[in-house]
Amino acid sequence: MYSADIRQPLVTGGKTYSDVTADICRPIENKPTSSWWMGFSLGVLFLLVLVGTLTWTVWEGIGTWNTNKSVMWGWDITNFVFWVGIGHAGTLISAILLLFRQKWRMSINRSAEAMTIFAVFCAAIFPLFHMGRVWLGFWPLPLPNAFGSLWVNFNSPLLWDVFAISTYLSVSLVFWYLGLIPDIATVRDRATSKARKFWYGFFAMGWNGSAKSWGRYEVVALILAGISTPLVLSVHTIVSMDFATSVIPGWHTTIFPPYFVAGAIFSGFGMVLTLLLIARHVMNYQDYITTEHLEAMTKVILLTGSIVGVAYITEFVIAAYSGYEYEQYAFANRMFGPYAWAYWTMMFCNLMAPQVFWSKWARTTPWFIFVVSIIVNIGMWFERFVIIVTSLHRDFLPSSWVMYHATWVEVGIFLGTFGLFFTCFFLFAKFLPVINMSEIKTIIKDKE
Amino acid sequence: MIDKSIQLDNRKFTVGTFDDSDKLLHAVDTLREKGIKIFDCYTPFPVHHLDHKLGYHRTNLTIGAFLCGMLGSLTGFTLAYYMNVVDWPMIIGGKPQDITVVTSFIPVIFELTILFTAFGMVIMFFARTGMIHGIKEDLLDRRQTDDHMLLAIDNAEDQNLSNSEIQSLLQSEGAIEVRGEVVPFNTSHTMEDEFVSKEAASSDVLVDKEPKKKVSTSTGKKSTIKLSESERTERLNIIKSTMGDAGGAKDDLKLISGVGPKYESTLNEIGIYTFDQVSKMTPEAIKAVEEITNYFPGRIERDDWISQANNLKNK
Repeated sequence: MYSADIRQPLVTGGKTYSDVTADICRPIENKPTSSWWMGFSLGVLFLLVLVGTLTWTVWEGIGTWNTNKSVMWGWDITNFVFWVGIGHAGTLISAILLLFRQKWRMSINRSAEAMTIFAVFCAAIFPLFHMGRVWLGFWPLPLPNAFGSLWVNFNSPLLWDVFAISTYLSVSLVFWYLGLIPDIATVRDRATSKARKFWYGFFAMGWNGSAKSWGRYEVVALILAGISTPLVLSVHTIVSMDFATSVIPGWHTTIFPPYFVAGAIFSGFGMVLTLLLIARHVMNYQDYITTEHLEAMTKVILLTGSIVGVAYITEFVIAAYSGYEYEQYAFANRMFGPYAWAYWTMMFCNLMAPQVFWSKWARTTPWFIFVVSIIVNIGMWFERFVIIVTSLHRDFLPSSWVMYHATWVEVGIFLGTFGLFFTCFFLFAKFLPVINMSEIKTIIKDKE
Repeated sequence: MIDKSIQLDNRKFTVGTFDDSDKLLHAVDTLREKGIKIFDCYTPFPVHHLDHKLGYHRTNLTIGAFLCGMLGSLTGFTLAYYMNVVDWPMIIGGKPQDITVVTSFIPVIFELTILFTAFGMVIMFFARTGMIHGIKEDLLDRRQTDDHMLLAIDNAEDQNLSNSEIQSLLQSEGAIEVRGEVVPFNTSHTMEDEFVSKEAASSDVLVDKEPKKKVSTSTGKKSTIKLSESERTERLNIIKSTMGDAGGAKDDLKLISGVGPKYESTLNEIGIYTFDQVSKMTPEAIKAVEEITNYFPGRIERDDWISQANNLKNK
C-alpha cells in the first residue's frame, strides 16, 4: 500500500486491533479513577450553581438580571452565541473533514461531537430562560394556539434560529449516535456484567458488523456528512442574522455570516483543544491523539483566527469608509469607549495570540497549546460581549445611554453552564468510547 | 427485507476467521472465483471494497434520502406559506404578502430539508438492516466486533465444493481458524468467554456447556481435547529440554505479535518467560506448546515467532 513518509503515523505505539479495543474500552470497563471523580464532582458542583441560579431567576423573575433598556441583551445572548459557537467544531470535524478525507479527524471526532451536543444544550438554556416564563418555552414552535390564529413569524431571524438550533442539535445527535453503534457493540461483546450486557446490547441495536450493514452504514455516514456541512454553516449564519438584520450600528453589516462562522469554528477548535489536551493526559491517549493531531488543529485555529482578525479590520475600515456617523461612532466607541478593555482583550486573544502558531514549536508543545486554547476561549467570549454590549449601551437617544454590568445571577448561570458541560462530558468519558474504535482500526496501518 | 437475522432457521455456518483485512479480501476473491456462495462477512471495521467483492450493489438509501429531503422542503414551504400568507398574513416592513415573501422562508425550508433527510435516511437505514433497540444480535465469534474478521458460508447452501474442501481453502488463504458448524449466538445469552486463550489458561476440563460453539472442524485443525496428565507432563518435558530454563529472567512476551496478556500468562505457566527461550523453539516444541495451550495450530510458525524473538532478544 502507498504510504507517504513525510507524514507521521496517525496512531503511534504499534497498536494492534485488539490493543485499540482494550485501550479505548479501559475507562468503561474499570472503576473510575480519582482524577475522574475529582473532575466529575467539580462539574456537579457547578451544575448545582446552575440549578440554583436558574431557580432563582424563575422564582424571582427576569429582573434578577441586569438586562434592561437599552442593553436588553447582555450576558445571556453573549453566552448563547459563545456556546453555539463552541458547538460548531464537532460537526465540522466529523462532517467537513470527512468530505475532505482528513483522516486525522478519526481520533477526535467522537469527543468533538459529544462536545457539540453538550454545548448546544448549554446554549439553549439562555434564550429559553430569557423568555422569563420558561414553561411557555414552546411558544416559538409553529403550533396553533388558543388566542386566535396568530402564528409564529417566519420572517424573523429569531424564529429561523429556533429551527436552525433544534435541527442542528437533533441531526448532530443522530450523527453521533450512528457513529457510536459499532463501538457500543464492541463494548457489548466484551461485557461481563449483566447490566452492561443489557444496556450496551440495547443501544447497539443488534449490530454485528456484517459487510452488508457496513456498506449501507458508510453511505449513510457520507450523506449525513454531506448534509451536515451546509447545516453547520447555516447555523451560525442564522445566529449572525439575529444581529445583522437589525439596524443597530455595529450589527447591521453583511460581513456577519462568514465572520461568525469563522469565529465559531475558531472557538470550537479552541474548546476541542482544551478538552482533548486534558483527556489525552488523564486517560493516557497520547498514542491516539498525537502531537500530529494537535498540530493539525492548531493550524485550523491559525487559519480561522486570521479570518476573524481580517473580519475585525474589514468591519472597522468599512465603518470608517461608510461616511455614516453612527456606524463610525459605534466603532470608535468600541476601541476607546468605556468598554475599550473588552475590545482590546478580544483583539489580543483572537487576533494576536493565535499568530504564535506560525512557529512549529508552538504547534507541537502541548502545555503551550493548552494556554493558547484557553486564551482563544476567553477571546471569543469577549468578541460576543463587545458586539452585543457596546452596540446597545449607546442608543440613538443619548438620554438612554447606560453602562451594563452582569449581576451575580447572570455570572452564576454562565459558570453553571460549564458545570453542565463538564458533568455531561465526564459521564460520556466514563460510559462511552471516547475515540471511534471502528474508524481508528481502519487507519492504524496507514500513514497519512 | 431484514437480512441480518441469521439465526432465524437455525442455520449452521462454516466460518473462517482472519486477522488481516487484505487476507480476507483475497479469500473472498478466491472463493468467489471458485463459485462458492458466501453468506456474508463480519468485520470490526469497514473494510474497503469488501462489499463490491462480495457482489453487493450500492444501497439505494440515497434515493430515499433525496425523497425525504424533498418532503422536508415541501413541509417547510407549506408551513410558512400557509401560516404567514394564507391564514394570518403578517405585514413586515411593508413587504408584499404574496409568493415573493418566500425568500425569507428559505432558512426554515432549508433547515427542515436537512432535518427530514437526516432522520428519514437513518430510520430507513435501521429498517433496511433490521436494527431496532432491544433486538438480539447474531454473532458467530465474540471477537467479530474486536479484531476478528469472519467469512461465513451457509452450510445449507449448495456448493460445488465439499465442506472440507472449502475449509482447507480457507485455511490456505491464511485463516487463523476455521470452524465447521458454527451456530449463531448472542452475547446476552452466553456468559462464557469464548476467548481461546482463556480456554487455554484454565486447566479445567472443557465441558460442553455450549456444544454448538465448541464443535471442532472436520479436519480436526483446532483441537480442544483435554490432554491427560501424563501427556501434559510429556509435552512439558519436550518444552523444557528444547527451550531451556528462564533462569528467573522475564521478557515482555506481549511484544511478539500474536501474544496478548492472557496468552503471556499461559506461556509463563508452562515455564516460558524469555525471548531467548522462544527463539530456541524446535518444531516439536512448537507442537507441544500448541497442544498444551490449545493455541491456533500453525500460527506460531506463520507469525514466525522464532525470528520475532531473535529480533527482540537482540534489541
